[in-house]
This record gives sequence, structure tokens and C-alpha cells, in this order.
Amino acid sequence: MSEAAAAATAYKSSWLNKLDWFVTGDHKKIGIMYLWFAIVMAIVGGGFAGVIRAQLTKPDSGLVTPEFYNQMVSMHATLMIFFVIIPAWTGLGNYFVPLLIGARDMAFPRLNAFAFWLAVPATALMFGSFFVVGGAIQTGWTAYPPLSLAAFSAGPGVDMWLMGIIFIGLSSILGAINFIVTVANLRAPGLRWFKMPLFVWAWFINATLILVATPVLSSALAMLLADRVFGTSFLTVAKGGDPLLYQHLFWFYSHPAVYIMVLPGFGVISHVLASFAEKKIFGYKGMVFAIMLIGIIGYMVWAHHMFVAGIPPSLQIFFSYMSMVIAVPTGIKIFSWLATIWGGSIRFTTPMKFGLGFIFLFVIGGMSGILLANVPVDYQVTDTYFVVAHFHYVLVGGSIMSMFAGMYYWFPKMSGRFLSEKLGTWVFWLFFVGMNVTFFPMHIMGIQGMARRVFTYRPEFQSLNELSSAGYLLMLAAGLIFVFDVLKTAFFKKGTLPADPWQINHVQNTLDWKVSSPPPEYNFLKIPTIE
Amino acid sequence: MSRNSKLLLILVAAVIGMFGFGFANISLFKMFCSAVGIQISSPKDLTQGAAGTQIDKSREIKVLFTTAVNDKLPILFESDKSRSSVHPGALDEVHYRFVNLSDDTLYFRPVHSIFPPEANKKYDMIKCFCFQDMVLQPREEVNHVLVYSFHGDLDPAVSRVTMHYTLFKRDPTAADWGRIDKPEGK
Amino acid sequence: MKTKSIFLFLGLAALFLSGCSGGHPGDITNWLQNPATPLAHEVRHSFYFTLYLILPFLFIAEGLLIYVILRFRKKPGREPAKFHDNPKLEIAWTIAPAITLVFVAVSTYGLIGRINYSPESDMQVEVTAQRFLWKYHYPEYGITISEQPLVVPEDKVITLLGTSVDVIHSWWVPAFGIKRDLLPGRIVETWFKAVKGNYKGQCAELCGPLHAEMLIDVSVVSQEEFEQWVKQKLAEKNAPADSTNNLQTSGSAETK
Repeated sequence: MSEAAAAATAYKSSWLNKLDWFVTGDHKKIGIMYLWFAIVMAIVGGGFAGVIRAQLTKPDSGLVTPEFYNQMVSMHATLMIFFVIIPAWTGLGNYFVPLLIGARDMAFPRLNAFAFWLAVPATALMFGSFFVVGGAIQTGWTAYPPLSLAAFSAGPGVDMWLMGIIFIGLSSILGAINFIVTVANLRAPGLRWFKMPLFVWAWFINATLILVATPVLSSALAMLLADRVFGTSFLTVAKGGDPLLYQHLFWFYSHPAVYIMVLPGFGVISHVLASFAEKKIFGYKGMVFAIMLIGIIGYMVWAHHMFVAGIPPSLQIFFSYMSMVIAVPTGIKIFSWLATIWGGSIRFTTPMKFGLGFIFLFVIGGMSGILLANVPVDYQVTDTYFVVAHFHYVLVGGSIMSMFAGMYYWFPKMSGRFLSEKLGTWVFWLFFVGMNVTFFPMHIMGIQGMARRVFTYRPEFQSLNELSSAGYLLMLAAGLIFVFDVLKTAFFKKGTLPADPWQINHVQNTLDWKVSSPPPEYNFLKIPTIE
Repeated sequence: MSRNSKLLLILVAAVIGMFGFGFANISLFKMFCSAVGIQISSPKDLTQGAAGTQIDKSREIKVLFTTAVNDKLPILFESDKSRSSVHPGALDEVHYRFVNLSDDTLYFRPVHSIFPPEANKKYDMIKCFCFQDMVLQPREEVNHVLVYSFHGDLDPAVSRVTMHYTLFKRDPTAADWGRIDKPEGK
Repeated sequence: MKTKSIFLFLGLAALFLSGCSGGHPGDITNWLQNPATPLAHEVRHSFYFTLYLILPFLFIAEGLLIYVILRFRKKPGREPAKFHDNPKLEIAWTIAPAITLVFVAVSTYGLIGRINYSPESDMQVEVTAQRFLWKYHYPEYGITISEQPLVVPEDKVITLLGTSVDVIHSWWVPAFGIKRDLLPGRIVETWFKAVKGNYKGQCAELCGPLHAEMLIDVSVVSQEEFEQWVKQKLAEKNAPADSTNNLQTSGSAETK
């Protein structure tokens, strides 16, 4: 052991080390903090979903007030999008992008830490808003004016929400800058662009999406905040403003945001499927171009969220067709993943189960997406539970499933301990079945005419809603088992694992499986060279 | 400067640029909308003087006049006729009656809108009362007149047009009270 | 696990098909089961057309997935395959979905126009949305009703001119195949030509706490019944206020 390493070991065992988490710029520690943050927020956001499902078990259940119900709807979406999915990907990205490209840290460690800690004021604003006069935001996470303007949403709740989102958006932007610079400049010698692992590619493209889209969201939110607080007239009809402008800016961000939430998952899935099928990823270049295409076309589809809001038919046609076009690169990815596992020697480990489950669910989400891109059909099913079903298949079936896959896949690397395979199997089946039981009936409810964001509904929809609420319990059980297992393994298990605990690197040949588990500080004693 | 800082600067510039782009959209959006003929809430070609175009007797456009007021703004707001039939180029006159039904002074602003969007830039308002703040004393009644005419080059597919006014409550203590939003491009 | 996944898949597929092909008989006024306008029929047709074009892809993808799961489990003595590209295959699975989507796209083109532009209008009704109620005004008759069902004659092109006086609402009656956001300060148009019946709908854009209770009722009646209703409403308008209750009850008795 070298002197420096000995000093490091001594330091690690001291109490000072614990404080180090508050000032660290280490990408691995920041990554882990992001993941813990996302897990805590997921528990809260999942709890909010529980309130929604409980209220909807029967019509007019009267469990919560309409105002509180709307707060739950708005905050469930806000937390899951901005405080769970996006930070969780940032966490995994922080930990593994530098590892995978042979770098010792992100390009700007202090900026990285600053971006993470911005989540604290953002979170404080979000939860604080429940305790102010008027309570938290009730407008849905879309916060469309005029509903979100002071005339209809009095009290500081919406202002706090807006500031919170601006903070977490800034955090996301700073993170993205860091990812772009890291990937562009810190790749190990010999790691050319088209040799980069797909998780790195996915994150790189993801970061450019965040960089371009998020400031536009911030500008829309800033306008709304100014209209509310300073009485400006950007979006106020009576003063010559236009609420549709907000919708355009909002979706200009929020459609790419869907890809921001799922692209890193595409990367994870590519690693997991190849690893456990013991085959190289099929059509690597096609995969990269498909992600790029999805990123680019993702900017040309935003108004498909606004077909009934009042855009002319010519634009409806444009946005409808572009939305269909985006299905093509998505199809390329699905088929390439299938070809990757075709002919392989599949080991059904927990990450692999989630990887395969991801494909199953994401395909369904993609199909309902094509139905939604059909303008006349969209007229019928937009703002109904069909849309709710669609985006939960994409976000739960896509983002969350791939996140589970990534967590199980990389947990031994991050902690030096495996998560329980036995519990993992339970988590998978409960979550997979629960997810389908919860969200599949929503397709039917939507088609039968149940509007979304409602605290009550016509009695005809009761049985499907009961089914959906029952499915929630299965997902809840899966979530609790997962959290239990993570806590237990992280805090009460001891030991380390070899560099390649899954014994997959003869196929993968990526740098994450070439360093110890967990990796040493600064990852690589000597920067590796890729031949 | 290191490669990292250089790239950092470029990216920060891009972020600021995109943030600015969001605000630039306030005018870009209006330009884009008028280019593709989407109607936006702010007025266009409010008062152009005389219509100037020749009266096209071969065409008749059916016009419907609609009004809307929130119940919280107790104003009786109606036009003297609910429909008209006009030739492009000919002037048409509609009288609107505003009656304050309450014992309070009311502050509000009429906002004008037209359907279909194809008609949006194809008419002139010679006299109108929109986009300016108004006051009604308790129980006061006032009349305002709308005089307009359609352009001769109004899309031939358009045979029915709806002219609409909504009254929105205003706050007389607001900093921008009394401001008249000028029509663009004039 | 093998059998589990098969059953799960089959179950889901059945659920998907039954749900989407209207296998749930009932008295719900549902655009897929009871389209009440020519437009709703077309939308239904477009829905099934799209669904049947994309379902094969769903089954191919899920079928391949299940097959791979069952067939390529790791076994001692069997080496995993080595291929990792196949340009022909990649071109095929780029082109096939693209061509399919061209069919979907082209099929919606005409309908997008028809859903947006009202044909020659037989009757116009103004719809004003205000949290959390609907007001209807019949300019032809000078009738205004509020928090009551919209009553219109059957088989006539009814043009709705909609606006809002506060936040964004959305007028949606599923069986008519239309939904239109009503924006404050802006007048928009939508239309329907419905067969006789009572239809239910609701506000489809979150507008505040009681959004879920901002329901829409439409009674499509015969021409004679409609004229009768107009007479009644006109009488009601001219009569003193205390008789309002009376007429309302008889009005709703007639439409139900």
C-alpha cells in the first residue's frame, strides 16, 4: 500500500470523513447522493400516488378534498419527473460516465457539487409550499396560465413551485454542462467517439437535450413568475398576453424532457442485455444514430401535446407526422435489443429481468404513442386516462424499469455488495405485474371517456379503477422491498467484490468492470489506454 | 485557457442563448402566428382609416357577433344585432351596450377575437373599443360602436365569420391600468 | 417463470384487444361503441385502422422477446452466438415501420381537415365556459341557458362557438368525436351532426378544484321536440321568474 493510500485509509475511518459528504466534489459520492435523494423523493412521490389511487377507488369517495387531490396530482408528477427520474439518471451518470470513459472525475467537480446541492433549496421550496396559505400548487405539473396566474391560484404556493423548478432546472443544466465537457475532453487516450459505451453516448446526447431545452422552460416559468409577482403581461389575456405562448415554450422543453427521462435508460438497457446474454450489442452504430435521431426529432414534436388547444391543421399535420417519424428510430432500438439477446446465453439475473421487462413495457408505451400521434384519435383520448396510461408505460415501464436494471446491475460496483437476488426477483415480479395491473386498465378507462386529473368519475369506471388501485399495492410492495434491500445491503452488509462480480467483462469489455468494487478514489491509478 | 474552460464558456453561452430564445419567442411567436395565420389575442390593424378596397358585391360574408362576460363582472354586454351579412369592402356598424348592473364602479377591458383564423388579418376596424381599459360607474349605461370591413382578398373559402368580445375584470390600482395596447405595425 | 410469462402475455393481449374492440357492453356513451356523429364514426375507423396496422409490430416484438426468453437460456455446453450486425436486417426494420407509418399518416390527412372545419352550418350555438359551469346561447332565438343540458335538433350541423371567461376549459363529448380547448378571450369553433340521444361529456382541461364536476349533458332531439323546447324557453324568458322552476322540470322530463 502506498503512503497516499495509507493516509486515505486513515482518513476514511475518521469522523471527518462523514462531513466530507457535504463538501465533496468526488463524482462517485455526488452520484450516490443523487441516488439517495431520488430514492427518498420516490418514496414521497409514490406516497402521493397512493393518495390519488385511494381517492379513486370509488367515485365521490370523499377521502380528500378536491383541492388536496389536485395538489397530490401536481406534486406527484413534479416530484417523479424533476426530483426522482432526472436526478436518479444524473446520479448514475455521475458515477459511471467518468468510470466508463477512463476519467478520474467529472470535468468540474465543484460545479458538480454545486449542482447537486441546488436540489436542497428546490426541495425545501416544494415541501414548504404545502404549509403556506393556499397550499401547494393545484394546477397540474403543466401549470398552464391563466389557471396558474394569481387571479386563480392565489397564495405563494405556485411562486414557490416555480422557483423550485427553476432551481432544479439550473441544477440539471449545470450537470449537463459538466457531462458534455467531461465526455468531450476527458476520454481516455484511444477512446474514440464511436468506441464509447452506449451509456456514455446516451448521457452525452441527453446532456445536449437538457442544455438546449431546460433554459427555455426556465424562461417560460420566469414569465409566469413575473406575471404573478410583478404584474407583467406576458401571459395575461386581459393585458394582451397569450397563454398559448406558455404552452408552446413549456412543451418545447417538456417533450424533450420525456427523452431526457428515458435516454440514459436506453444506455443502461444496452449494457445489461449484452452483459447477460453474453453477446456484443447488436448494431452499435445504428443504436448511436437512433439516439441522435430521437434527440433531434424530439425537438420537432412538441405541439402534439396541443392538438386540441388551437393550432392550425397544417401544423397539426406537421407535428403529427413528426411524432410518427420518431417511432422509427425507437423501433430500430427495440429490434436491435432483440437481436442482441437473440442467440445469446441468457442469465436471468435481476438486472436482466428488469431489462427484458423494460422491452416488454416500452413497446406497449410506444404503440399507444402512435395512436396518440394520430390527430383525430388524439382529439378523443388527449386529457383522458389513455394518455395517463401511455406516459406511465413510457416513464414507469421505460425509465423506472431501466433504472431498476441499472441499480441492480451497478449496485455491486458502487457498494461492493450484491443486492439480494431472491428479493430482487420479488421486486421484479411484483413491480412488473403491479405496473400492468395499475396502468393497463387506464387505456380502457380513457377510451371509454374518463378524463384525467379528476377527483371523481362516473360510476361506470369504478371496477377498472379498483383494479388499478389494487395494482398500486403490488407496486408499493415492490418499492418497499427494494428500499429495504438497499438499506440493508448498503448499511448492514460488509465486504468487497472483485472487479467483475457479474463475470461479464469478457463480453462487455468496459472500464467500469476493470476497477475494484467499489472503485478506488480517483478511479484509476494510471489513466487507461484503449486499444 | 484550458480546453475545459473554453467548452464551458461555449455551453454557458448556449444556455443563456436558449433562455433568451424563450423570451424572444414573445415576438417570434407573434411573427410566426401572423405568418401562418394563427390568431393571437393582441390586435392587428386596428384602425386603418378608410377601408380603401372596392366593394365586392358578388360575395356575402355572414358575420355573427358574440359576447362573453364572467358572472363575477355584473355587466350586461350585448350588441344591437346578433348577425350581419356584408360584402367585402363594405362598412358594417354594430352598436354594443354596456350596462353596469351593480352599485359598484367596475373596471374592465374588452378583448376582441375573430374566427376563423384565416380572417384574422383580412379586416379593418375603423372604430372599435378593444384593448383599452374602461370604467363603468354604478348603474351606468354606455354605448360603443364597432365599424369594420373585410378586405377584398379574404380567403374565398371563408363565408362565415364570428366577431367576439370578452370583458375581463381589471385592477385600477395596477401599474399598467389605463394603458392602451397599441396595435402592431402601425 | 416460463409459463408465467406466457400467461401474462396472453392475458394482456386479450385485455388489450377486448378493451379496444369495445368488448365491454354497457350504457356508457362511448365514442368507440356508440359514435353519434359521422365524424365520430370516422375517428373510430381511424383508430382501428391505426391499431390494426401497428398491432402486428406489437406482436412481433413481444413474440420475439418471449421466444428469446424461452429459447436462449444459458445452458452448459452451448456457446452464445457471435454476430453483432446485419445491415439487411437493420434496413428492413427501419423501412417496414416507416412504410406502415406512411399509411397511418396519409389516412389521417383528410380527417384532420374535416374535424377542424365545420361544413355549411345549420345552427350556431355559443358556448361560454366559466368555472365550473357551461352557458349556451342560441343567437337565432335569443335564448341563453346556464347549467342545463344543451338541446339541439338531430341530424343538423351544429356549429359551436366557444370561449372562456376565466381559465382554459375544454368542451368534450366523446360520442361526438370532438374535443376543443376554450381559451379566455378567444373564440374558436367546432361542430357536430348527431343522431338522437342523450350524451354525456365533461370539461377536459384542468380548470380548478371542481374540474371533475364540470359535466356536459347534450340532448339531441327531433326537430319538432326542439321547436317545442325553444317555445318553452322563450315563454320562460318572458314569464316572471317564479315559473322558472316549473318549466325547467318539464323541460328535463321531456329530454329524459
